[in-house]
Amino acid sequence: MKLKVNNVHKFYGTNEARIEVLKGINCEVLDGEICVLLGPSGSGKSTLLNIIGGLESADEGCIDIGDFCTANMKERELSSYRRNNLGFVFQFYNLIPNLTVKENIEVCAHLTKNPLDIDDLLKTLGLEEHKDKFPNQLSGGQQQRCAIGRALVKNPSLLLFDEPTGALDYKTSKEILDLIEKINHKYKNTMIIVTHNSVIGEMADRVLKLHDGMITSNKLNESKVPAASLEW
Amino acid sequence: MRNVLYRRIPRDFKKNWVKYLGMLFILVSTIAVGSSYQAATGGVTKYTDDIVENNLQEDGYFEVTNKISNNDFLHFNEEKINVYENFYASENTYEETAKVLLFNERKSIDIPVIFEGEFPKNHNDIAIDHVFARARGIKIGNSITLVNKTFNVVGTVALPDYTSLFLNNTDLVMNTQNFGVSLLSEEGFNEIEDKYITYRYSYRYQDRNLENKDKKTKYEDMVKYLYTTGNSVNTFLPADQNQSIFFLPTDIGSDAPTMTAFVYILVAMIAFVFAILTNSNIEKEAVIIGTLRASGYTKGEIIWHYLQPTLIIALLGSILGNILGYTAMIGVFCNFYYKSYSVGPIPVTFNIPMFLLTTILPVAIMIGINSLMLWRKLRLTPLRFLRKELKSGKDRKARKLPNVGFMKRFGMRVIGQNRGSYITLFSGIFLSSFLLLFGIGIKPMMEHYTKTVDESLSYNYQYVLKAPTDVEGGERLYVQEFKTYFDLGKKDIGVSAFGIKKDSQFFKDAYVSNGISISSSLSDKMGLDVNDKLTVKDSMTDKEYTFTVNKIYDYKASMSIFMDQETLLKTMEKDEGTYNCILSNEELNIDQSCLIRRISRNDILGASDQLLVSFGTVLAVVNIFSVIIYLVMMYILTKVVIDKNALSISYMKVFGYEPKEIRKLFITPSTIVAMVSLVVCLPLEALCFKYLLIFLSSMIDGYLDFFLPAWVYLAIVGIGIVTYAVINIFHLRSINKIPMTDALKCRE
Ligand SMILES: Nc1ncnc2c1ncn2[C@@H]1O[C@H](COP(=O)(O)OP(=O)(O)OP(=O)(O)O)[C@@H](O)[C@H]1O
Ligand SMILES: [Mg+2]
Repeated sequence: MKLKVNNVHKFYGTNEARIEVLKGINCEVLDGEICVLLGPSGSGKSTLLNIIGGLESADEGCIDIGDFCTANMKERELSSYRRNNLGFVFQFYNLIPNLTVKENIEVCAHLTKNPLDIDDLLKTLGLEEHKDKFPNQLSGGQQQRCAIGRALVKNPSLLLFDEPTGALDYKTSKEILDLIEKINHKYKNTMIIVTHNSVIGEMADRVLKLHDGMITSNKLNESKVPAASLEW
Repeated sequence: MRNVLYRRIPRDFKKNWVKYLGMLFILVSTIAVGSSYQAATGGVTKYTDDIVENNLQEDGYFEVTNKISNNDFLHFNEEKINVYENFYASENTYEETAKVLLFNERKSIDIPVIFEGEFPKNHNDIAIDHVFARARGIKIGNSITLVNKTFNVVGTVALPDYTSLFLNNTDLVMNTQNFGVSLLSEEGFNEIEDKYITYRYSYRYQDRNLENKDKKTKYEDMVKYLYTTGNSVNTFLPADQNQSIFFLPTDIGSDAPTMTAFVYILVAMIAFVFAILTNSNIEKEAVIIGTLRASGYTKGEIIWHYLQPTLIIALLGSILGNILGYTAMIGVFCNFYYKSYSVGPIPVTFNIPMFLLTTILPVAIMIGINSLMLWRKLRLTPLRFLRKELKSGKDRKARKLPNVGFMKRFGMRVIGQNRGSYITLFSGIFLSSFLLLFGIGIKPMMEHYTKTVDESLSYNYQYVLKAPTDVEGGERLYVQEFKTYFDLGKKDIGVSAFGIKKDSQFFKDAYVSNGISISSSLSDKMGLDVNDKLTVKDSMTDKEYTFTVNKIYDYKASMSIFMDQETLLKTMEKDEGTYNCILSNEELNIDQSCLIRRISRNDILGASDQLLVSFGTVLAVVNIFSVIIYLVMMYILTKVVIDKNALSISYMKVFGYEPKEIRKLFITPSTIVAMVSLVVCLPLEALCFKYLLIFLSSMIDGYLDFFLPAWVYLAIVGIGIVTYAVINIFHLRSINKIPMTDALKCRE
């Protein structure tokens, strides 16, 4: 699904303390693209991602996704927009502690009429043998796989990742990125990955650079490198 | 596809079973008490209603010196009144202390109800009223000697014309110890010597839909007829003037509003605790909620998910509570009635409005309070959940704390972060120790009341007369019963006006020549002072009189006003020098027929004793209840603190803090709050008790002075400390069980 960000502004605080975190963002992400959003800490990456995900509203401008436009959407509509189109993956996995891996994924399968086949998905995620474990019995990488599975099971047209490897070691990070890539091939979802690790940009179709609330660069990546071969 | 989130619920129940079981227990017992009370009261009401037609309860009786003639029967029949023989023999000195009436077999009126055993068949069989039998320890199979004959007790019964055992219709209180009724077979009754027999005739109107005023004319006609035909009538008592018949139906259910209020206050409290639990759960799971919301779960779905445990416990509590109420608990309340009232086996009635009151309403209260809380909480955006910003704006900043040691500061933070739980802990402790204070304190208070009345009461006997009589001794005065409107109780209360002479022996110093003096209890109850005006009403004539208070007379035994006898007589338009009351220290020999009422010191003191006896079971229930509520409340509300901080505790352990230090951080604040609440609550509770007492006093005609001996307070604090100590053992165990890996695994 095609995503278009139109002149998005975002302010935080009031009066003197009011700061402009996003200063007019314009960009486009095409259907099935992996887009990596890079930028230093505090540049507004998460804020932008949250606005795209309908978790936060823009003070100005709007997001067009397929036929939807997020401007003027009410909370209820935003909720159904997220329900039907989006999958979120966070830096910390936010799994439900008293549900097993499989059940954690099923929680989101419930949200759609045509979820992906869960056993199939578990296989793709490499979690087959862990499916009946509770989150506290998993490693960080396994927990993140589970969180990705949970976001993916709805087969959403847009998957948003906020620092998906932020809490993981080098090797595990690469495995997760590899998985993301595999999923993109298999299910053709549009993906936006927020990170401050510029190497990850090498696996993307498109790289956006954010600095101080403004997009400083928007490039298509000509020399895509498979995630497994990334090095940093 | 079914939502898998529901699988969390049994796991949650399993993990926190102590918490949930405790809540369920309180809820079940509350509802059980409520429903069994309703069921028993409903049953007794049904019984008293049913016996009117099913057992042909009389509309009245009269007693004559000689049997009435056939003509008389015919006359009454023409008047559409069925009159039946209802003869009895009286034993006045059973075991020297009790009066027992032995009735002949009944076939057409006041059909007895068997309670245990069977009806008398043989000439020496007897069935005893079950209340009297219980009070005197008479068992089936015992022999008993009455009216010079020995009988075999074959059963216990309840007579429709004696649902309450009043020895004299003029008595103030029932007397189950010294008065009983019983039933013989016809054969047995015929063997009794004539000198014991009283000829009572009981009657029923053929028309079952008579208006009260028709009944009155019919009954007056009967009296007239009996006199004019030369029958010597000793007693004529229509059912609506017969305390033994009307007392129970009017008394029953009078405490229902109090009981209902009690149940609903408890249910609301439980609902509140659930709200706290859910609330802390939501805070703990903020990130999960944020994630679910971000994934597209709607507010409604999340609310429903977090509402389910409450709903399950509420439904379960309501179902189990009702089952328990209608099976096991109902016995407690039935026994309560069986102890005081001669009713047959109480039918278990199923009354749909009542049932709804004990099922739907508690569930609705719990769901209502909880969904309101959830709905408010869930208004926050998903992002705020993800960022764990659930508090309102101002709270987000870390508060500056005084520069004391780290442990102290940390402790303060724990208290600060758990303010909500601690406030609830405070209210929980307040409520349950208030219940306890009530349960423990009411007895000494009643005893104190009895004591002050005893000390204050200046005479031993009061005789209220139909007309002046020529008996020697005693002080003669004129007493007029008035009603006065009691604003606080929103109802009329009775006030006795004593017309006394200046040299009154029994009310020394009460005499005022102008206006009135009032008893201190009346002054306390109504808040009246010297120079205030008091308006009273004669309920017979509806005339109102206003008097000026001239003096407060230190007298606690009754709600009374005192004034010059002649002034009172003039006010009431009575003959000069007449009187209708004799006070005396000695028993006077006044004929029953001249008396309206005879009140002895024992009657007055007995009334409050009887109250305590009949309340005994209920008070015990209240006490046990409040201790359990104590336990559960304290446990849950302090556990919330530990649960909320499980991760911090886990971190502390990882950092190498000793169990002792961890306890200091997460238990000591709770302990301090609990102990401070215990002590701080006491004066508040005492104050509430005082107000409750004013309210309770408004329902009775007397005034209960607030009086609690110091040991009651000590007992409350003692019980509180012991309860808390028990709970602490649980907490220490659960802190020890928090695994260190939580800190490393479950990132939030
Ligand atoms: N709720 C808020 N109120 C006020 N300021 C906020 C709020 N959320 C974010 N900010 C500010 O907005 C700016 C951008 O934040 P954002 O989280 O988007 O940064 P980021 O690029 O994701 O950084 P990081 O890489 O550290 O996650 C920061 O300066 C932050 O302080
Ligand atoms: Mg960020």
